[in-house]
Amino acid sequence: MIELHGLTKRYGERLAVDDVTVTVRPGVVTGFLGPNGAGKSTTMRMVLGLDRPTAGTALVNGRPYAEHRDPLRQVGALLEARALHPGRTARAHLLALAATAGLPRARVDTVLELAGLTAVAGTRVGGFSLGMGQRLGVATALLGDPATVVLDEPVNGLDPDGVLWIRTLARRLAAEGRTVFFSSHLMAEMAVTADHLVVMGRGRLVADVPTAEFLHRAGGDGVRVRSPRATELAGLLTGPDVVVESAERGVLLVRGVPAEVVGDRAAQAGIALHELTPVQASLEEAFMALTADEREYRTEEQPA
Amino acid sequence: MTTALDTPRHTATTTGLLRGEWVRARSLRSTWYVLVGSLAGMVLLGLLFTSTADTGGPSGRGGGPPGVDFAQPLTLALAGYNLAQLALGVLGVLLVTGEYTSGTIRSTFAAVPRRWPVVAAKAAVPGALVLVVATAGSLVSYAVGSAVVDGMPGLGEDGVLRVVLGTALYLTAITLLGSALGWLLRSTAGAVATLFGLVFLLPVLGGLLPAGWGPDVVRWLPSSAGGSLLRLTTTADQFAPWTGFAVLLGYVAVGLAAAVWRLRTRDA
Repeated sequence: MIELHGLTKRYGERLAVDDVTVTVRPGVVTGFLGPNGAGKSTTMRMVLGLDRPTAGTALVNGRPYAEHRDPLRQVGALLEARALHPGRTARAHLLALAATAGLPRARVDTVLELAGLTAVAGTRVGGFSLGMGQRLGVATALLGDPATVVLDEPVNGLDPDGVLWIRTLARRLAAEGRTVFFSSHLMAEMAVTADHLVVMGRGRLVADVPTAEFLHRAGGDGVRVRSPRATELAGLLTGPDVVVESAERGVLLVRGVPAEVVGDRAAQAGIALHELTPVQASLEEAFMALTADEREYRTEEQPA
Repeated sequence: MTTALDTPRHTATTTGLLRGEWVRARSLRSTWYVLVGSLAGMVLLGLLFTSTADTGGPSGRGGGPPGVDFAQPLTLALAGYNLAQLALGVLGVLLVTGEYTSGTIRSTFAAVPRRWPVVAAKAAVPGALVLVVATAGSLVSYAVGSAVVDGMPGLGEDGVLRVVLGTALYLTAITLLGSALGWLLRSTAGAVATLFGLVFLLPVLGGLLPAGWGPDVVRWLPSSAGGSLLRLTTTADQFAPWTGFAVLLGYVAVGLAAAVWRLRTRDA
């Protein structure tokens, strides 16, 4: 569990993080979304006690990070790609950290295997690809078998295999009851991995909502309809909450009416349909819509 | 997760911190290159100076590194320390700045949020390594020198053992000075340049100061003060051997304390 209360970080005149209050809960994957420079990394660094907040507090599992006697058991973090000494082997990197943190050596082999790096454990990190370095970073984060996992841009530089690995791993860690907090600017990845979203823009909290609700609120779901008599059909679908758009001839995007109703009305009027597809707004669209008008919203209800 | 862990049994301990730094130091090839290179350089330079002593030094003109008295076989045998201090000081710098430039220092601080024990462990481990290697280096240099040149004073003679072992202590202190500079400057180039300036450049520049008060300044420089420990006899312009070494240790202590203070107040 990560609890941020009025968290603020000022660099000179610039507010990198501006009065952020949010709780990241265990058992679900929480995505941390925002454009570059939104303050995501700074927030994560304050959670880890690496940067000092200008104001406010960041609690991890009920305490400030630095007050934990066994910090790596509490939080495992991947904060930047390739925070690895190029001249050291993968195993030496993990062994050193395990010794420093008082963790058993057996954990080193466990996380090497978990990250699929057993075969290259004795290779110097300087020869690693970006993806292998990222896997070692994740292995480092999991070294202490932590209750809370913080991953900053973990899929950066990973091949499709690696992306799938991170996604599966994040979901499994959450299913084990851990708190999983991971940032990305790849919104499509977020949409499939995260159950809950915390969105930041220009240092401020923009949204703290379940992923589905975020998508719904930001544009709502719609139905794509293809018909040779599209214009005629559009006339039948009018209503108070109904919006009908047409981006190309013969294709309608209908919001506010479920697909069943669109199909039934078309059938009643004897209009042939060539396509009837429910579509979800993309996270990208949702995010753009949200940050464009600087709208701010939060929900108090949290997922079970 | 195949290995279940208890909590909070898994916490940073002194032994663990030292072991972690030992793994960090030994897992880099550069550590071994520097240690072996310094050992070899010390012994070979000692051999060069002692074997050419009769003909006035390597250049035949009685030249040599500053501060080397060609009339004293003991000083000749140990003259290689001049080169070794460069390499070992750089080792002290690298073991700290290497963690900064690669970013691994942040995972270390994440494991030890209080941070100051990391500074202590990162001083203790290279310090111990260098103390062992430099002691071997000065003893071997002394033995080689004794075999090559006539008139080498015996280890039992006044001050000789102090000079031989003091060379190792001096080199250890310079390594720790490098470590402190590494913490304070966080950049390899900056810390190495500062170290060279302190150890080599300032004593030379100090020599250009007026004779009236110049020596009073020069003897307070880290390498001049610590260098007193490596002299059989000291002049009125120099600190007494152990006093001088204490001054050098004072610089090391101030440097490391400043490093700890900065870590407390600055973001990692």
